Amino acid sequence: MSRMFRLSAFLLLTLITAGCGETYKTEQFYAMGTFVSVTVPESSQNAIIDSRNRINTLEALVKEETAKFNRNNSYTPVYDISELIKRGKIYETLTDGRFNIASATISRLYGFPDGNYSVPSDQSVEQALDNISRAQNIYIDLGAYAKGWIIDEAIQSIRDDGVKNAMVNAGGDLYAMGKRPDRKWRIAIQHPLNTRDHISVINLENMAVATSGDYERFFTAKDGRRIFHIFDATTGENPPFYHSVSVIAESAEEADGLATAFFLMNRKEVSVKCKKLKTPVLLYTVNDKIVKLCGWEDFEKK
Amino acid sequence: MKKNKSDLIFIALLLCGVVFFMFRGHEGEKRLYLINNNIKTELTLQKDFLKLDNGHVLIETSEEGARFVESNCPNKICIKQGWVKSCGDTAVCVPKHLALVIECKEQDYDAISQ
Repeated sequence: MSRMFRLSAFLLLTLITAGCGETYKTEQFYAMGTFVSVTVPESSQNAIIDSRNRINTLEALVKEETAKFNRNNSYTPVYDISELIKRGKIYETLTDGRFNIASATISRLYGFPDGNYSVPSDQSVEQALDNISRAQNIYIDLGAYAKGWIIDEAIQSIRDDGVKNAMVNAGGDLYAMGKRPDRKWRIAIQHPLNTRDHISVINLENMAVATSGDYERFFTAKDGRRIFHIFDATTGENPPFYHSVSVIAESAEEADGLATAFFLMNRKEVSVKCKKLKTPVLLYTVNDKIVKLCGWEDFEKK
Repeated sequence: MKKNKSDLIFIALLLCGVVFFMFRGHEGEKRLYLINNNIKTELTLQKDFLKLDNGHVLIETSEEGARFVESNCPNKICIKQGWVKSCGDTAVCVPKHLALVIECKEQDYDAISQ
């Protein structure tokens, strides 16, 4: 009888530990204009609080410093933000000037990001383009990659708390650190035209993914044109190529910035640049074609 | 010999029990949450309507899930997102800081990039 109990107790213990593993907890909160979710092992709850504080502090800093610069273009922002602004040059160079943190000078004429939408006169768009080219009387917006930077910083604060496996997801731009107990982090890429569907499922470990789309911030003009928040800083127009662009990179900042930068490039240009940067890309074109570039498929394998 | 047989039956029953215990409430047990700003509240999965933001937002719940029915936000994206029914589904109204989320113990995906 005692042998039977020992055996069954052993079996019970083995099965329970094998089946459950480490449990994870996700907390969601509103920040950076979207819902942020932080997932950490249940035993590391303080990491959620620390990362949330980090996100709130940096979000306020970005907002404050860009507002100061926008009021007075001769203002020099604090070190972290000055460095962040400098890194915008990477995407500007990559796109031959189509990406520009000062494209907010154009987008604000249309009412982005506040939402008082209207189509501006050609003359005012021309004036904005001229201001951007001369870097005078400009408005900057770091939204294209500051969210990614803040995600990376939040991950760093979680790492500083001694946590090895976690995910920080800010409205679909995310960093997946380490893995789940039994597998890598599994991420679905949403279909841009059908939100309940997905166009790819990828598995990440110590990698980031970000998606830019034309379907989340937009308005319909009186002439029926659909105008969204990404503008080419050389033409003042929306780029005409994609409904969504997703990028896998080693940091959330890079994934975030490249998703917008690639949005401004045609398919051929993207395939050349992503090869050079070694960043997998998933394009959903305006002709409803799904294009996987630079090793995207490798991440679809488990 | 007879004792060994009863041992086996006992262990088999125990195994069934453990397997049942492990898988109960994984896929099947889904929960519906409303996130209003930073406050997360569980909603009951039953036929009902919920008014928020002084009646400017209307949420419909059912046995299966929930959806935004009305909202005075500019792009109505939350309404276009339709029903949240499956594990990991979300519908978000960013201007109102509102979200509907279905969470399960074992989800198909850890996150959705959009």
